[in-house]
Amino acid sequence: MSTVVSQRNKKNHRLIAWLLVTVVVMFAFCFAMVPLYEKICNEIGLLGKTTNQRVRVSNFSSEDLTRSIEVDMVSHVSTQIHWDFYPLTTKVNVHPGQVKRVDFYAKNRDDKTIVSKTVFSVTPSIAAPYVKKAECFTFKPQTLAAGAITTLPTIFFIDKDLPKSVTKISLSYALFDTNAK
Amino acid sequence: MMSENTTHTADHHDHHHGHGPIAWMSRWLFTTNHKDIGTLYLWFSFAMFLFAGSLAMLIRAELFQPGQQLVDHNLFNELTTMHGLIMVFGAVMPAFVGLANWMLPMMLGAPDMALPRMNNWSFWLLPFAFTILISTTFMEGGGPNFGWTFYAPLSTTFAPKSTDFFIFAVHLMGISSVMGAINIIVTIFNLRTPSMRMIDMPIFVWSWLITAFLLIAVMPVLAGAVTMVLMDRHFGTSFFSAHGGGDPVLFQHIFWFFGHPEVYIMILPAFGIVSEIIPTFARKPLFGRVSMIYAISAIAFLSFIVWAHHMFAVGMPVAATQFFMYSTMIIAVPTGVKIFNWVSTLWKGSITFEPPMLFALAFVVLFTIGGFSGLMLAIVPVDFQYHDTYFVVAHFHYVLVSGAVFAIMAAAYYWLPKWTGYMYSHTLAKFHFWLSMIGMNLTFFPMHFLGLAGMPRRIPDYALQFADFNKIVSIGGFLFGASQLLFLYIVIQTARGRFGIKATPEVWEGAAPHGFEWTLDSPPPHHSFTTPPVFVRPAHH
Repeated sequence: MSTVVSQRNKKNHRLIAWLLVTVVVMFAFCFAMVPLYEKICNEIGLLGKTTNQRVRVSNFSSEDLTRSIEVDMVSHVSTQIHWDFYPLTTKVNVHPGQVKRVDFYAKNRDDKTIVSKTVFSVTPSIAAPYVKKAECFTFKPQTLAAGAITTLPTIFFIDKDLPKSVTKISLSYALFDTNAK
Repeated sequence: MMSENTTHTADHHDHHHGHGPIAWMSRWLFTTNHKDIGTLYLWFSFAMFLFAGSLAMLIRAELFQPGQQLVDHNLFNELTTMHGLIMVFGAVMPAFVGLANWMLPMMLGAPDMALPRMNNWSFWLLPFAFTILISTTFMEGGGPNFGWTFYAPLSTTFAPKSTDFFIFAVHLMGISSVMGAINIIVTIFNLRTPSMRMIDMPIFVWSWLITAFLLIAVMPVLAGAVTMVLMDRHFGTSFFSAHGGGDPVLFQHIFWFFGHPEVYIMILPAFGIVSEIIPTFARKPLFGRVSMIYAISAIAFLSFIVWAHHMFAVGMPVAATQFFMYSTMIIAVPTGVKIFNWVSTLWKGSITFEPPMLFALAFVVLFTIGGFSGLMLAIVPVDFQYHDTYFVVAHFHYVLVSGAVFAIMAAAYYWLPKWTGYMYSHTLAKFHFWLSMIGMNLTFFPMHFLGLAGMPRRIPDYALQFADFNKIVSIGGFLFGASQLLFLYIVIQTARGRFGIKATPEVWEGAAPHGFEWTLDSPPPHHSFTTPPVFVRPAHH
């Protein structure tokens, strides 16, 4: 009789082990969703996210003069950072392939040095993969001493493969304090 | 095969017959018996149902007329949050686990659950978890006020300090649920009487098997989500905050990846209960038994690929909205199969309307209404209008109150005579049914209109044009709430045998062929089956 019992216990333990493995795998999967989501968003431009990486301009030298795209520059400032931050030009018209530079004004109104980070996104999100940047202050954190003022450049162009349906694009720059809770 | 269990539990049995408060307490604290633990789960969930229900009464009192009456805005947010959290994790889920504890061993011809010691632990975590959760209300800064969905950054940057207690409580609930699910799966696979094949199992057992797998798959995801919230709050990570490179929308994806299977965790056992009750009172075998099992499995599978329909308004590519819209609508197919099977079971049956049957029939009708409003919400352009309005509140209360809660009440009325050995007063129970039925519809039906007219959910005040419907809703709510005290009275008096009617082993005329539980005495012996019973396949197979 005891062999029957130990056999059943063995069967129970094997099943419990498998179920516990599933629990651990699903817990890990929850954390795996973080890089997975990042990758999916960047690849397909979900929520207007882009890979936000430097692109060499020389590869795209010719312009598509048949089209003109209105590009709106939008800035957001987190409530937790005491900076003035806005684009010096809020609206530009560009031909696809045309390289454009827009400067942002930034002033640290805080009484200490602040390291800021800007999150870049594109609306409509369908246009996100076609916005290319040769240079941008969002590539790395920006440091400003107390009271300091600076001009932050962004140099971009719109890929000529941009779908014909898109005539207007908004580029959003959201400024955050890297030390904020 | 069963001798080990009988000898070892016979010892326990002797302890149970001590006297005095210490003996009484240790009996319930240390019990490993599936019926005791089932009873504990059911009483606990009943207590939580009444508590979270009284929070809903406060919400309805505040919304009885426009303007601020009873509670300030933060307390209102706490009330909606606590009501949701406690109803989901404290009332509905433990009630189903309690029913599983009571019924599974009896339905499978087993002496007890497979892992009785763990069973004890998974119950006793719950009172502690909910004491911690409820105690946050009295802490500095108040309790959780961000809704049961605890979206970041409401639960991270802008949350009260007590959120850490909320996180710990959710962890405890998660551990409890996962252990309960493991116990159920092991019991079903390893303690089923040898002559019963998987396909022979009652539909309630099948629905719980599939639910248990859902629990094991998604409770760890919830645990991960609250862990990330905790890390964002205290350990300098930025899972959900943009300044560190994270994304608050990610929270919603993770939460609803858990959340959608979770809402099916709260309805699949209800499907199982109704599939047990309707055949008994229609005096016919369940129509389309096997298709019922396939339908539950299909619904469970689909629950993993529809989560983003909760977030259409957040923004996503059109292709993604199309995918989530159509995958959501496909769920109507297996659900339709189930409704069709229940109605076909009734077709040409010899139907009687005992209290459990009344609740089961109300379930079929009202759950279908909730299903239809769900289909409306699945339509992307329409959802942009309905999102975060009372239409959503109406929808999920139709599937959770007249769905899950009515099914639990049906189960209580169906099996209470089996559990206690006493029948209740059918007149009182039917009175309770009609009060609940009228109260429930009076509460939640006008919410559809309020939502379509644009009243937002989770807001303590509203525009004047919503005043009349809100008054009706509040009156309905008070009626529904008060009538549950009658339910409490009926359950207590039945357990004490005060209605004076002994229940036979079969309890319901013609119930015997519908499951092993009706072959046992009422109340059943402490260890349900000490020798495995022989399953006889019905002739019509």
